[in-house]
Amino acid sequence: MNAALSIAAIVAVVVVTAVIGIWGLRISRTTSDFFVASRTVRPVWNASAISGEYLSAGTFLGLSGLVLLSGSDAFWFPIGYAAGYLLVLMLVAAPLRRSGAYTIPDFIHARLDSLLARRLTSALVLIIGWLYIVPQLHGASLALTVVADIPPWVGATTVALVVGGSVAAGGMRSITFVQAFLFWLKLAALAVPAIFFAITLSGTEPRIDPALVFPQGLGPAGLDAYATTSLLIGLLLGTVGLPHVLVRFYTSPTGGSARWTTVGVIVLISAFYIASSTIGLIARIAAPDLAAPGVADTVALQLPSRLIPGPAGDLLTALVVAGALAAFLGTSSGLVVSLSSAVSQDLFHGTVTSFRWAAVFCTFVPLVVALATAPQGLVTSVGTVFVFAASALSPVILLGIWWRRLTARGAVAGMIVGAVSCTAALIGSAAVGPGAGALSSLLAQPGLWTISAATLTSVIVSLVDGRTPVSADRILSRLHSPERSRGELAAGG
Amino acid sequence: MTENGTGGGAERRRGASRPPRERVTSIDAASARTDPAPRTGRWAVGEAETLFTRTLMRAQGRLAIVCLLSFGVALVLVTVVMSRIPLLDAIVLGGVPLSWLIHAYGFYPLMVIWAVGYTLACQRLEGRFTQLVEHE
Repeated sequence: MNAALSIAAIVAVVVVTAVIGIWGLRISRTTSDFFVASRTVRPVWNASAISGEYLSAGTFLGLSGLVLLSGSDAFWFPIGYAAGYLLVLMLVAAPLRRSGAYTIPDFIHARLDSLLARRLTSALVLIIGWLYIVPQLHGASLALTVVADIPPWVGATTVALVVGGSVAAGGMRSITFVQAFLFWLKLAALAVPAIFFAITLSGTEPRIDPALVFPQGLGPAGLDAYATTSLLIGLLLGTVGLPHVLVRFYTSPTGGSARWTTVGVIVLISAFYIASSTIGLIARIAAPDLAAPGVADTVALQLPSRLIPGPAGDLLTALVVAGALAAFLGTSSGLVVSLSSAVSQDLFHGTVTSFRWAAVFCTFVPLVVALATAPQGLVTSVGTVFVFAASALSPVILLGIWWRRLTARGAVAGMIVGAVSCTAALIGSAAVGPGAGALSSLLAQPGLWTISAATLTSVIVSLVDGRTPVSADRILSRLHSPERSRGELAAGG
Repeated sequence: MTENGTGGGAERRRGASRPPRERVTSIDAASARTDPAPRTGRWAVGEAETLFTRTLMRAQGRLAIVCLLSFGVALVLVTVVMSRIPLLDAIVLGGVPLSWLIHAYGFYPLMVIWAVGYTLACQRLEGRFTQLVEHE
């Protein structure tokens, strides 16, 4: 493996990101308002930007690692992440765009007219965001260690510095194009090697024995119905509750176009997951010796030099490294922006200086956590964050959009029950271990019952409370009414 | 808070200086409370309109639930087919059993089909609603 080439790729990604960022900033200077500028962005770019922010180290490196480690069960993760956008499309995209809220706390505050509910939402958003950044930093450590034999803390610290620095400098907010570029880079960085691998493998003899490489027990036949259902529901609903997902819909001009943008996102992330899954299948054929926890996640980085020796393999490795860096940067910077605006609004009345300090703070905390913990499987860590978001925030968001009688107390109670029960289950799962049969399964995949508990609590407390906000009818009618015409929108917006 | 609800305020604040994002979006407690009684410019809340929007909301909710349930059924069907038919493990394409291939690739086309179908249906629904309101 050629370390110099990989480091050159890393530097190139950082430089290109900075250049596009500065160029994007200049474009937004020429218009009166960034948000108006972003409405001139074509849906394809908008969808690319959303996908660029969404696809993280979890699926870039983690998916192929988990396919190698535990078989076809791993495919449920990308299926859940993609189908989550179907849920966003059908239940959330247009109403949230029409709400005009930029962040989840904004939406909850406007909908329930409660400062307490807002503060609690902000706290949960912060926790979810931090938990989500940690695996990105772990991924960065892992990647740099593999390609250039650099100590783990360097990778995590580098990504944290780049992300925290660029967000604090004020760059990332206006850069739809940066995220869009990072998406296409990530897709190319998996799809191009996948095609090369497939060609190489099809030419090699002897053929592999499918029954050994793809054993039936690790395939779809070994499906656990409860664990799969619980995981899928957690992943689907978790997408709705992620802090950096909602923000991007605001760049669509209308609720209707927000829907088409979401359709675009589903197409783009599906293409990415198909490429990523292909790498996973190839990993089982070509690198079975890497099937050990901690090492498996590096398989996407190691495949090129194994399958294609020489300079071509080095170039492909550099491409994969660049894509992995794009995955860490895109997701972390999107998250840090969302978190910093939430922190600076809620704690410091949203001044620019406070936004910058918030960006530093929001990067520093997960960096400390990342340095203090050992990387677990990347895709499962990200999955856990989704399940937590699905338990703590998603029920309240969905009820807020679709159920008139939700009250502030109901929402607060639901969020607390969801967050506490999910945390307890995860701690309990670590304590009990995998050996306790049904209990282990219930604790390891808690989504099904924690989400139900949070939803039921919200509904029951709201009904008993009965203090439906006076503005509920007005807000709901706004969330669900189509915009009248583009002309009026331009005049009003 | 909201694009329309604080539109005037946001406009004023935008005019004052370069637009740092927070000032446009901020909904700190103080400003939220001093805002005038919120009214939406787009749809004034007449009684007939409330009725219309409630009907529309229910129709959209029904559409979303029908689409989600049917997608769920399709998901379960594909899952059952790939996990409970041993023959699919025996068919090998390019070195990979068909059941694994279905698991890796088979669900994404379904999502795209459902996403496009739902969006078209929703557009029709909202188009009908807009016509209805503008006739009033």
